[in-house]
Amino acid sequence: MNTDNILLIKKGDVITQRHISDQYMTFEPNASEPLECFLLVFKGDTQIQVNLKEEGATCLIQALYLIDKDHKANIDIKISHLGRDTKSSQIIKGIATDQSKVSFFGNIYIDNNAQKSDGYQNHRALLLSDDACVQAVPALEIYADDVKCSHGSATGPLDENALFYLLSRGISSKSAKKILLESFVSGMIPTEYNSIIQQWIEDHV
Amino acid sequence: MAFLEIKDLHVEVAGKEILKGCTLSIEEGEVHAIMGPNGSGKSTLANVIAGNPVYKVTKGSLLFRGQNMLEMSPDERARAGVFMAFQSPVELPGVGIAQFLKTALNEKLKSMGKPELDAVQFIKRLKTRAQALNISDAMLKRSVNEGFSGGEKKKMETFQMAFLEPDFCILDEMDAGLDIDALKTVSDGINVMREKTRSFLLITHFQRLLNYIEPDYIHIMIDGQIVHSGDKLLAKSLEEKGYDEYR
Repeated sequence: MNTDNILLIKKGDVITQRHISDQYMTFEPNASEPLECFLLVFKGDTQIQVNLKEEGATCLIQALYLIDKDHKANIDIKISHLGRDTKSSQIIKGIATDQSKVSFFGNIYIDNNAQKSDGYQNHRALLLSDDACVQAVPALEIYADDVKCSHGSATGPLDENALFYLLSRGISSKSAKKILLESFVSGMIPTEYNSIIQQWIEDHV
Repeated sequence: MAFLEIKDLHVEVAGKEILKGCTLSIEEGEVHAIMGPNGSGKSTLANVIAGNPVYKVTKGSLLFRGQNMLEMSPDERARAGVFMAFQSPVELPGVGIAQFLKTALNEKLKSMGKPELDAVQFIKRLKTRAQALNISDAMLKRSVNEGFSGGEKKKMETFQMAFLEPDFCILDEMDAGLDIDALKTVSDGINVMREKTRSFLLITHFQRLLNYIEPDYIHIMIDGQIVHSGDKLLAKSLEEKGYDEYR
């Protein structure tokens, strides 16, 4: 299976795909053209820096990582709110299994010139084995007093109650896990790329 | 051979013994109700029969049609015909009701060596059962239990039961949090399923449910044991006198 990391950038209805590996990317969207990107990570280092300089600039980043074997993944996303009224939203989800190790660093920086800005970050990870490890380090650096900024992070195994509910309806353990994992990742990546994710899940339940 | 045979069942949760020698026998086609005060072990019994791994059986036996259920996983028990309507069912965001029920039914049919339902047969069965319980098409398009009210969740449990047609139905506090209209809808849905080959175990605090679903037998559970059994008239005397005389 192809396990190159994938970066998708959406402009209007057009999605451009870039294969990336161990690289640093920087973006500077302006107000008239928001950055909307999707990241699918299987291993390695991925660094994204977004500078929101222009007043009203916005970005939406959705990142999904699927890490197996003894692979390591470092995902580092830094959003710098430099201009007034800028907005960022990051949704990061991941599944780690086998002996994989994941580090997620998510930084939202709000400059003192970036009043009325809004930064949001949410990270959720599922651990499918006892030996997999996810370390999440969210950080907020805020130097303006009239802003909205929030973040949340949760890492844990599959919900036992949800799993039991599915099993109690006669659904096998493998199918039940598949259903829960597919619902966990749904909406994270444009549907054209669903088959890659579904295959990964199929191979890991 | 009894349909369901529970003998001297001892069950622990997190190291604490909840069931302390529970014995119960149910025949095919019978409706049994278990009543008892809070914390007496009623829901534990329901969960143990369904195979919830949180509950550890330390002693005793649990046979369903002669099969040793304690050696079966929860999904094997369900495919063998056991169904539990949950007291508080979980929400499954992103899991559509149709997909969920289709997977459940097809896995059951497959294990029985029967062909899976095709799309047309499936939709027909789904819609017929939904209509009988006043479940709208809009509701069927939602995720399982997500954002449902208490009443909607109970209706959805009843609907799943009607759809999957299990042989042994455990209903854990189906009346909790239901208004009279919802209770009537849910009870009607259960009553139409009563058949010679299907048995029910109702778990409830109150006599109210038993006015709508008439049981053949009522058992009183106190402190992890069934201490008294009787016919449907027992509910009325309980309503008047409480559980004190059985403690």
